[in-house]
Amino acid sequence: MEYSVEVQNLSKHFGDFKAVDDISFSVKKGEIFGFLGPNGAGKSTTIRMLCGILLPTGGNGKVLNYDIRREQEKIKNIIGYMSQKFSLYDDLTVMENLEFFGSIYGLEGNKLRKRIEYIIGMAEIDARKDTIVKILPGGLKQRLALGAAVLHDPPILFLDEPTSGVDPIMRRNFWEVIYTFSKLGKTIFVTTHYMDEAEHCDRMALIIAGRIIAMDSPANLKAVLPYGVYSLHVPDFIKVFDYVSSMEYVEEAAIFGNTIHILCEEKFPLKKELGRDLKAKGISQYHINKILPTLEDVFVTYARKMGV
Amino acid sequence: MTTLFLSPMIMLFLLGYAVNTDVKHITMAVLDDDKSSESRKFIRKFTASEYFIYSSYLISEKEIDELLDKGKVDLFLRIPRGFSRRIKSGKDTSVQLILEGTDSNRAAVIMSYVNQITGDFSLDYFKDRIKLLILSRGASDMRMKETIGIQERFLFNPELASRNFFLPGVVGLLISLVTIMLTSMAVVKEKESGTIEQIIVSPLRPIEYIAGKTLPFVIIAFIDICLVTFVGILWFQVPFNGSFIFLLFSGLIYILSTLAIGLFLSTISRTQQQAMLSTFIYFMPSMLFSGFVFPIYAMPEIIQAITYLNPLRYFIVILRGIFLKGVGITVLWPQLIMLLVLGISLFTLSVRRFARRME
Repeated sequence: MEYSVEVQNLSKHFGDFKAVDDISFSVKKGEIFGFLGPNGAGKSTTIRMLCGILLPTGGNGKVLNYDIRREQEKIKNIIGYMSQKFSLYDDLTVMENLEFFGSIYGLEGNKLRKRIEYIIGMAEIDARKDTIVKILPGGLKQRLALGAAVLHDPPILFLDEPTSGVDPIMRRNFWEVIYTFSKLGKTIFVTTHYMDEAEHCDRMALIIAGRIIAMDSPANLKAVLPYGVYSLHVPDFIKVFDYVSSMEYVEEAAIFGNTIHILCEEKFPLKKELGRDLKAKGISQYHINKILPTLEDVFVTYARKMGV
Repeated sequence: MTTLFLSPMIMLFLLGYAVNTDVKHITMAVLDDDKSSESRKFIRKFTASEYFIYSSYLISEKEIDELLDKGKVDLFLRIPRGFSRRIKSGKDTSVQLILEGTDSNRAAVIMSYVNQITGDFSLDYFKDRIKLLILSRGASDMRMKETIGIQERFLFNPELASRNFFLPGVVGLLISLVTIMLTSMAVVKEKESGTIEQIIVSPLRPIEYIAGKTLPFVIIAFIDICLVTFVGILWFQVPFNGSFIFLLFSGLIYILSTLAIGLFLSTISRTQQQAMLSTFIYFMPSMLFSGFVFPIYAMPEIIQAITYLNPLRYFIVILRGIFLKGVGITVLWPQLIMLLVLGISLFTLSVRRFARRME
């Protein structure tokens, strides 16, 4: 197996604060690998170490076989990076930005022109070529930033919360572009705190407080969850929520929209037991269904286990 | 554009007109208790010069307090009764002088004018007396001995115009302000917008980035030097006796220091407001300790020692040398060397610090 990223026991401490605490993982070539976790979990810090911007406190890492401690300059040439904050020059036009970033990576002449043409086509931004970036809509800016990040055709792409602040349709668009790159054999390392976005990944790691608490494909993560997951529909769900949470057999209860998700022992006959308890409370209008767990259920379960 | 070229021009005009320590238009009030021809002659001695303006003739002593309190007069002169009688009989006499001493420099200069005028007056009077004495003895052909006169000539700034002294320094101030502020803000702006992040992950080396961030400001600083110098010469009639090429050359060496300071400030500022504020926190003392306004020799020794680390101190000397004395590298090489040493060390330190931040 060929790996694009390999990390062993990587840590980064800022004073007493352990931003990244002894994590190990590897990303296969051509894989879309996701880092899912809340803000401040250490996602960006990890990406910054892999990109050669930040020196690790401990542990080792390799990006395409280049050491992240000693060969940062080489790494910088072969990675594409896009950060959560839009980071192209606001006061330049689309073309000027692409030309500038192309020239930083040593592209020039015909080669640069061809790459820019390709990027403009991919980002579907042809009509706005000569527009000042500042006035582009958010989604276009995002695609342009992605375009600038892949201008030099890097084999691996680091995306640090690339879709934060972008509307759902634009996000879907954006992911289509990411799939295109993946099909071209590029490795994609992406961080996010959107659960639905994590579903797009081939494999993902859940990260909380600087530690990886689970790592697998989204389907496997959901499959191995050792609980039965049920959804409960009741009219007055906010009042009922407290009552349900207090039940001994309920391991976890969480409000999802206007339903309550309940986790219990895998073999526990929840429908029967909860039904009886609700009736005892005088609640007769309810629906209980066994459902497939969502990533959020998985995440919440692991997070509670960690005591977060 | 406005910031780059218009604001230096505005500053130049403000400073060109406002920074003027020439003592002229001294308003004086007089209380003449003697009312004799001698006392009037004495008063005319003042008003005949272009420096004094006769503002009020007082009737009583009580009025003077109000005039001084309101700042209406700089000087109060009281000629006592018996003034003419006493000098005619050859006795010592004195007049009362009250000066508005809030601005100590101005008061001292006024005092020296008054001394000179009074001295002249008594000298003239004595000459006349002696002449009369000699004539009365019938020795009309006797040559009268003259006293020792001083032939003054002020080199480099013959009119002693303070503007000629200050304006060359304004070139230094403007260049410092423009380059320090622009450099630090340009870098911090990229921090704010996040573009620096994209640069950091690229293979662009820190030194290349720094060159890109500073070279434009070197050019702008050059244009500003030319603008300020030309306006200084053409509009304010400041003498320019030295070599323009040498001015640009020393400017280039000076800019090395200011760019370094700008870069340094960019590493300690997170927002453009912080960058601007820290520019002024550096700029104010660097101006005060440069000899631009306050002479360095008058400062306490510790402060004097600090001024040796201030690049502007050397550049001001160079600027005045070029503008007023017309001297070049043969005279100003010690200042140039100091600028070069300071510039290179500051630049190295800043670039190192900057590069560490970037990696």
